[in-house]
This record gives sequence, C-alpha cells and structure tokens, in this order.
Amino acid sequence: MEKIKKYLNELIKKRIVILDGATGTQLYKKGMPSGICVEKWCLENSSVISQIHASYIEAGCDIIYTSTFGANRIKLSEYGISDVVNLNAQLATLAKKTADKRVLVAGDIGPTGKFIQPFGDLSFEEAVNIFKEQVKGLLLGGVDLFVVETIMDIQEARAALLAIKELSDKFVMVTMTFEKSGRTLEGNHPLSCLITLQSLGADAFGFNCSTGPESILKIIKIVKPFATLPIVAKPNAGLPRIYENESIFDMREEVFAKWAKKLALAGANFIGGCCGTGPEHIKYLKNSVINLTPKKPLLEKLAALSSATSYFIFKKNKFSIVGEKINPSGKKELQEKLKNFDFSLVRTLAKEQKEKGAQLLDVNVSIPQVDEKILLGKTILNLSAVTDLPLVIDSSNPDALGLALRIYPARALLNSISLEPKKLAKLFPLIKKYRPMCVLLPVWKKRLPKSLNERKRIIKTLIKKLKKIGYSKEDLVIDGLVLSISVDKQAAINTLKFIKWCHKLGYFTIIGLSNVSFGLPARHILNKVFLRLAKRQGLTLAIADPEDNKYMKNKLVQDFLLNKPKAFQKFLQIYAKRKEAPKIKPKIISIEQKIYNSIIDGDRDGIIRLLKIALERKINPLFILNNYMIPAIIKVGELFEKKEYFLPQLIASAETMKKGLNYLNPYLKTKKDLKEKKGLILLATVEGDVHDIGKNIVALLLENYGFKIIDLGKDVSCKRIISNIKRYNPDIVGLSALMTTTMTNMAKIILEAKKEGLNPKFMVGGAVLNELYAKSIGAEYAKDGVEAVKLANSLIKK
Amino acid sequence: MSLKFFNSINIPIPQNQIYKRLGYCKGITKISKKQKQIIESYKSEAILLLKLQGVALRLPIIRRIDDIVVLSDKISFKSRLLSNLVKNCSEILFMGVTAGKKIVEAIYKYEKTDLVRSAVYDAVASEYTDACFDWICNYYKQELLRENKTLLSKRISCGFSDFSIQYQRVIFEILQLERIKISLTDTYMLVPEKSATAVTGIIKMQTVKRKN
Repeated sequence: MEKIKKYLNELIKKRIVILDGATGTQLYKKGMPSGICVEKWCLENSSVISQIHASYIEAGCDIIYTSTFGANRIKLSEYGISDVVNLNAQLATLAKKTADKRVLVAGDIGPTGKFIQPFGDLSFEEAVNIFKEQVKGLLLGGVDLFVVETIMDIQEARAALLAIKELSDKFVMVTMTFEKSGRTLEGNHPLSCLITLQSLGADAFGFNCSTGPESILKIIKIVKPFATLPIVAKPNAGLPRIYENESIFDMREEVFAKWAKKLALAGANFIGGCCGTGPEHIKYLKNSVINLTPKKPLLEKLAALSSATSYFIFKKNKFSIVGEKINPSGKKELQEKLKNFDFSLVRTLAKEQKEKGAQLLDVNVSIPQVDEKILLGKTILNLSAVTDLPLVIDSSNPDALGLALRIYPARALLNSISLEPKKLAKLFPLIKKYRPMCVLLPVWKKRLPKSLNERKRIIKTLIKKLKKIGYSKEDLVIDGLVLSISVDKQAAINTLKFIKWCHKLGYFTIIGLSNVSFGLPARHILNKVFLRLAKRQGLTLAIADPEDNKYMKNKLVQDFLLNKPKAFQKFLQIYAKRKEAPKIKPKIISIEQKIYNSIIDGDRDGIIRLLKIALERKINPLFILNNYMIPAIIKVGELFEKKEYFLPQLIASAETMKKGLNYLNPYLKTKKDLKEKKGLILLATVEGDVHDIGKNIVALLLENYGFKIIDLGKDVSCKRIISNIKRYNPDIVGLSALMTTTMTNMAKIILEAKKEGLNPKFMVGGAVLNELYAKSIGAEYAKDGVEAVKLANSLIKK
Repeated sequence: MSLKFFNSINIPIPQNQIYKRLGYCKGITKISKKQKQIIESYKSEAILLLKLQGVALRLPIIRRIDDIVVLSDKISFKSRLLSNLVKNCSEILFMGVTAGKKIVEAIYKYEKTDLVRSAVYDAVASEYTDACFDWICNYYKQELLRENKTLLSKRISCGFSDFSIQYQRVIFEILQLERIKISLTDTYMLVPEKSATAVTGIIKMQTVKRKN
C-alpha cells in the first residue's frame, strides 16, 4: 500500500483528521479582487497564499489543500490560460514548501463547471482527460494525496476519481455538495453517491460547501451506517444570509466547533471548513474534536447497487424483481427502434416496469449484426438519465461491458460471469477496475452443468478466482440457472435445491424466471407458482415480468414443477385446453345511471357504447339528455366550484358530455328548440398571444351547455375579430389573454367594436386578468370555464 | 463572462406544483384511482417529451442611475422595477430556459382531440420550465460562493410592471437563445411556447461578520 495511504488509514483509527478551512474567503479577506483568475493571482501573489496555508498549519490542521480548485482546462481557458500542468505543479510546489513536511498536502480538484453525459454535453472521456491534466501537474508538484471537492454531479466525481486512479495510487478523498433538499443539484442521493464512489475505489467520501454543518450532519447520519470508508465533512460557516443589504456568513468559531463535535460523533473522520471559515474556526474545531474517539466505518463490505439518483441495498431475506423487458429477443418493435438508436420504447419500458414494482432493470441489447458496444453504451446513457432504478447490465460481450461499466454513472450488477477462461481473462481487469457486483453463472465453457454437484463445483471455482481480486460474498449474486421444465422434468427441482445451497452459504441468488415455463401452456401460472417456491428457498432476485410477483398457490402446478407422479399428464389435461376464468358478475345499474356516471367520471371511451345500448332499448334520447346528462354536467360544475374536482376531471367530463351530445344530436327531435334557448358566442385569443388552452376549455364547456361557438383560435388580430363580429353578429364575444403585454389588445378590440357601432356583450378571461381590469375596459370577467358558462347564461338573459 | 449552456437539465418531478397548477386542492379534491392513473400516465408521457435546456450569462453593472441600469455601451435597461431589484448588486444574471419543441407540439396536437391530455401536458411543461430557473439559480449560488457572492432570492421577467416586454429582444440576443432552438416573434413571444427568460441580481458577500 502506498505510504501516505497507509499512514492516513492508521491515523483515522486514532483520531479525527483535521482539514484546513476556506481558501477563497481568506484570499478575498486579504484583498484579492473579484472577477480574476484565482489560481493565477495566487501564483503572482505567492506570499499571500503561503500565509494562508501557514495560518491553517498553525491552527492545527493535518492536511492543507492546494489552491488549485479551478485549475482545470475549462475554467482556466476563460482567462486565456492553457498551461494547466505547469500552473498546477507550481501551486502544489508552493503548498508543499509551506507545509515543509509538517502537514500533508492534498491536490485540490474542483468541478469543471460543465455537466457530463448523460446529464450534460461533455463526454465522459473528455472529462477524464481534463482531470488527468490537472492530476499530472499536481503529481509533478509533489502532492501527498488528492481531494476532489464541491462536486454536484456523480458522473463528474467518477471522471475525476478515475483520472486520479489511472495515474496514481495515492489516497483520494471525494467530497460532494448537497442542496438543502438532501440531494445534489443533479438529483444524486448521498447513499447512491457513497455506493458508487466507495465501490469505484475512493479512499474517503464526504460532503463540503453548499450548506452549513447542520445539513451535513443529517446526511452523515444517512450514509454512515452503509459506509465502508471514512467520512469527510467540510461545511461552510453556516448559510449565507442577507443582513443590512449584505450577504454574510455569520457562524462564530465556538458554534462551528460545537457542530464539528456533532459531526465527529455522527461518524465524520476528516473534518475541516469550507466557505466563510478561517484559521480560528479550524483552531476551535481541533480543540473540540481532538480527544474524541473516531467512529470507524461500521461495515467492511456492502452489498449494494446504485443509479445516479437512487440505490438498492441487498438484505438477506429481501426479495426483489429485476424488470426483464429491455431485451430485444423476440421483440421486433424494440429491435427496430434500437437499431435506429431510438430509445423512446426503452424509456417507456423502464417507466412501466418501475410502476409495476421492478426494483432493478435488466438491460440486454444484443441484436445480430449490430455493434453491441455502441448500442449498449448509448442505451446505458439514455436509461441513466431517465430511470432511478439501478441497472443490471446483461451482455456476453466483454468490450460492450467495458464501455458500459465505464460510463454508467453508478454501480451496476454485471450479468454474468461464467467459467470461460478466455472471456474471464478479458473481464477480470474490467471487474477489478470498476468493481460492479457480479452475477455468477454455473456454466463451464458454454456447457450446461449436468448435475447439482457440477453447478456447485463451477460456482466454487468462480468464487475462488474472484476472491483473488478482492471480491467477497457481498459483491456476488449466484444465478440459479433455470431451465425449461419442458426439456428437463428435474429442472425446477435442481434450481430450487441450488438456490437453497447458495442461500445456506450466505450468497445472494438470481433467476431468469420465465425460462421455467418455456414451451408450456399457462406460463404465468407456472411462473408465479415457481417464484413462490424459489422465494421459499431464499431467492434474492428474479429477472421477470413484475406481474409474475404475485402470490399464487396451486397444488397441481406445484406438483408438476416438483415432478410428482402423474402431475405432468394432469397439468397438460387441464391447462392445455383451459381458457380465461369467468368474469365476476357486475353489479346491476340502470343504463341511464351508467350514462350519468360516465359523465361524472369523465369516461370518454365508454359514453358512446352506453348511449347506443340506451337507444337500442328504446329509451327516449331527450329523456336521457334532460334527466341524466345535463344533471351530470351540472353536478361536475358544482364539484369543480367546490374544488372537489380539479381541471383534468372537469375537462374529461366535458369531453364525455360533448361526445355524448354529438352522438345523440341526430336523434333529438327537439334539437331546434334546444338551440334556440342558447346564444351564439365568438371566442378568440387576442393578437400576440399563443396561449389558448384556457380558451379551448371555455369553448368546450360552453358547447356542453348548448351555446353555439365560433372559435377563431389564437393570436387573432383586432381586424379579424371585428370582421367576424360583423359577419356572425354574436350575442357574446369572449376574449382570452395570458400575458400583461397582450391583455391590452382586449381594450383595443372593445373600443374598435364600439367605434364600428357593434354592440355584442364582451366577456374576458386569462391568468393575468381580474374583475377590475375587465370592468375598466367595458367587459365582464370569468375566472374559469364554469364561471364563463354562468356568466354567458346571465348575459344572454339580460 | 461567457454564456453557460445547460443542455440537459435534470430535475425532480415538481409533482405538487403540477397538480396545484391543475387546480388540485389537498384535502378537498377527490380523484378516483382510475382518474389518477390516467392523469399520472399523461404526466409521464409529457415528461418523456420534455427537453429541458437553459442558458445563462453574468454581466457586470457599469452604472445605475434612477431607473436606468447600464451594462455596456450597447446594453442598458430603463425600468424602475429592475433598477430597484439590483440596487446593491454588482452583476446581473440573465437566464433563458425551454421545455423544448416536442412537448409544445404535443400540447397543440391534443388541444382538439384530447383536451385533458393537452391540459396535463401544458401543466407539466409550465412547471418544469419554472423549475429550470430554480435549478439554474441553485447552480449559480454554488458557483458564486467561491467568489464570495450570491444571488438575490427574487427574479423578474420582462413584461412585468415597467420592465418592458420589448427588452425580450435584447435578452434574446445576449443569451443567444437561438442556440437552444428558441426563436422570437415580432410581438416578443418566445417560441416554443414553453420557453421563458428571467433576470436576477448578483450580490457580493462580506467575509465573516459576527452575530452579537
């Protein structure tokens, strides 16, 4: 082990390690102007930065950070600086000189300011290369360890960590910055970050900046029980607040030190200060924590997976479903879309499986004659940005797996490793580097094991090999290898026995559930019953349709699966011919009531069928309209006014009513009379305004209540409105506007109409309007569709 | 300062805000399981259609006299509202965001055939657009901490009060909004519809000030 790494790993067992405080705060305090390149200014004013380093050493810290937070290619280019390596080397040398072997110097790496794919446009490899330049310079300057800090995107943290690890084996701390919500700006959860970074080889993980110690304390309490590495805390001196028109940090040193003690007691092993802190804060901090016994990491290993925003922790008796549907095998539509790099269906499948209860997603994009490496890479990036479920990367192509593991912004489950020497030689370096959890498949040189004992032998050999590269039980999941019972009647029994054996040894297990029923009838019943049996043996995961995770007990199917005498014949006799179970008899409700309910419920798809039945039964259409449909829509209006219904319900009911009315119209003998009761309304969204959804809702409701509507659309000029008033002579003109800048056009229209001697009644509406404004321009105001109906009714009566 | 483009803004679903925009009142509005499923499925469809992008630019304030804020020889704003907002600020942060073209096309498409879907899509797009501003502000707050600066908590858009809508063209140009596929109409409307701009102030922080 590298010397400093060994030293620090020993030191954290003895006491809290003290980090320095803010550099920026001190630089501004010492007169550094704003709007300049901080790193360049530090070189040009080396005595100032040396004084700051020295003041922190004097305050008692163990580690100082180089002043290279923004010394990466992207940030330096804003100031026209291109010699990244040299600048980092010089600033590191400066810190080392000041440290003079009294304390350690951490090469400080901050964010690039860009977001990395899949969350931004910077490619992952470009990001790694940018960080590598900085790492090279810091190594030249002789830093003792590295700190990657103030990161808000897990993918950037991964890029920086990999850049360091590809050039050095020094101790690396990674600290990220979390919002008040407890997540990073990119939505990363602290536990998902911990799982990702500790598996990728960070030596310490923690939190800095953004919020004060109180928020960081909360996050430490979340992550500490799952951490296998030491925790870092470098909070600000509270949160900046506005005071007498100035924004300030105002946490006093004594208060900061009290919080530091709480952080240590919660499990922080490295503590320092970020924005707003100074040497005095560090001095007080040290005094408050130096005699505390540090809390070591509570775990040696953690069986866990992550996505960018969430995580999955394995527990001994916990069972979960791995969604199986992102697999093009036998799915033509998915194949076609994937070939064209169209990921819309993949995203939909991810969403649907999550909604149905999947907790992980299996991703297999193997299609003949398609470059799996490119396709898998793109699929992984797409999925990472849209789903919070951790991924199970399912491929037999080592190149594709290599890329997927490199760019996946989290810790995946690799599916799978079998005992194939050539493939193992390619996979082991990848596994060693990216440390995914791995599924072990009991297959030897592509041959299926003939017996239970052979399965066990293959798995034992694989485990032995993986232990040599540091893998343990917590990193592995054993595949139960489910074969179809139609091919081998002992298949289910063998798998169940094998799962039991793995479970007894303390290993997690997984099966591809649907294989068991391949080629048989009643597959979902078989799958469900088999899953129940497998869970009883301690099964951890099943790659399956989430629908199959429903409890089903069926003696005959169970006997069939367990190869009991005569069960095979009986099963086929019953299930080969069986159709769907009879439906439960619905409650008897009159057809008229159903029509009423369909409007109340907004059942747009059902209304026509119901009306058809009613007419076939010779029920008078006018009777249906007057006694059921109109009362229903009036009831909906009441519910909306009482806020028991909200907009989507109101619109759905109105659309149902409209559909029903359109269908009934030819049958209504008194249609003419009905129309005569109501008036004609001209509607328009005024010029300059393209927001017309509100106006469309009003039109729909008015039509429901029997008004004749002429809708001129959106962005309608004054001239066009006036000419249509002349043409149609409406009873009411309804105008809509959503913006303060366009609502003034309403006044122009009303004025113009008056000038032309046109006297329709005007009603107006829209988000920015109110009654006062409406009155001032000579119109009536309706705040929503239901009010517009009431207003229209009253205006017509007048 | 250079323009900063955010090509893929990733924010949690503003669930409560979407429902609130649609008129949902907690504890009062009653939705059946089926209705909820439909609304949720429309919401999910809408989210898949979003392409949230943003751009921001910091510009120093050269001078501020009464209601005039001068940023350069070519850029100045006459607005009491803006001038008051940035009275203690050293810089202004301009922001532009969009929910993208696809979602707006879908809103229009369903306006005539499925108004419920259209209304849900509209609410989703509007709330995500608003949330993008919060996201960009949080990003800058973090960046600015290192410079001993922070953002004001309030932001405004042109078209409000005396901050004329005509400044939309100035903001459009300085943010180069066409680079995130936003265009501007003659009446200063941003297209696609679910696009918006906003401005806020950047204020310097004092170092450490003691609380008594």
